[in-house]
Amino acid sequence: MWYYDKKLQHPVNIKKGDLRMAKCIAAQLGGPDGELGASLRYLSQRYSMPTGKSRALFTDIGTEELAHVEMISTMMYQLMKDATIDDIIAAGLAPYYTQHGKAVYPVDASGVPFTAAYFQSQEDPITNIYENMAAEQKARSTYERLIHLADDPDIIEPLKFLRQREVVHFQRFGEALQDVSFNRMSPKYH
Amino acid sequence: MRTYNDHRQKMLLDIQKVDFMLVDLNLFLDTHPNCAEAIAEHNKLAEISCKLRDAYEKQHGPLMAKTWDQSECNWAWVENPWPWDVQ
Ligand SMILES: [Fe+2]
Repeated sequence: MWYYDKKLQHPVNIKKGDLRMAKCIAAQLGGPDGELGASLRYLSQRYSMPTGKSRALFTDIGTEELAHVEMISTMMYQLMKDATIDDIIAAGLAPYYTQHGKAVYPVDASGVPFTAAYFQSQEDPITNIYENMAAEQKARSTYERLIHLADDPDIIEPLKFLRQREVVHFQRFGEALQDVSFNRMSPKYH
Repeated sequence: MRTYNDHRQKMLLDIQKVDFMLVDLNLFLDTHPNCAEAIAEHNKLAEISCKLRDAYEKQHGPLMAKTWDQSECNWAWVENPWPWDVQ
């Protein structure tokens, strides 16, 4: 089960709306390497993990990714909330506005809705860990491009925090790979 | 709308900092569960977090619905701001 903590993992206070950045940052909400996919990936895979360490890690990173979904959603909300119709049309967001208004909905940077097809969950734990390490690298690269695109420090600062978390998660999954590989070499598999 | 409160923000930021260190240590301990140094650090920070959260909740309402202060007569959980409001 889960409890909700009424705070963000890291502050997000964007004072100036920016639809161009909202559109790009959507990639990390509903895109192929986004936080929603990351959370669902680890929380689905955890049932196939063989060791206590890897079960704990998948549960805890999957949970942290939910906190990142909340941060990214908050960024989307704050970037869009004061936009005028003219701003929306100029940013090319008229189709999004037609379907959602200024609500937060998980799409990628091109407006394609989120799908579970962005991630896998397999029985083989090693297969899962390699997918996750690649996923963390892809998310890190996406954050770096978002940081290059942004000019407002209120946007850049939380993006840098989220980028750094991808680096840490990659490191921890690497350690889980060692743990699970060692476990596989134990007699019960041979 | 409520008026935003600098003191509340400062208290919340202190909690966010400590709780973040706890999340990060939690992940480290998942793959290094026998690291005595990290466990000691975790225990120390967990105690600080508890105190900070208690103090915050007494003044600014619950951080979790279950940490409800029974002496209150309204359900303060519903009070703004929510985390996505610009603070
Ligand atoms: Fe991650």
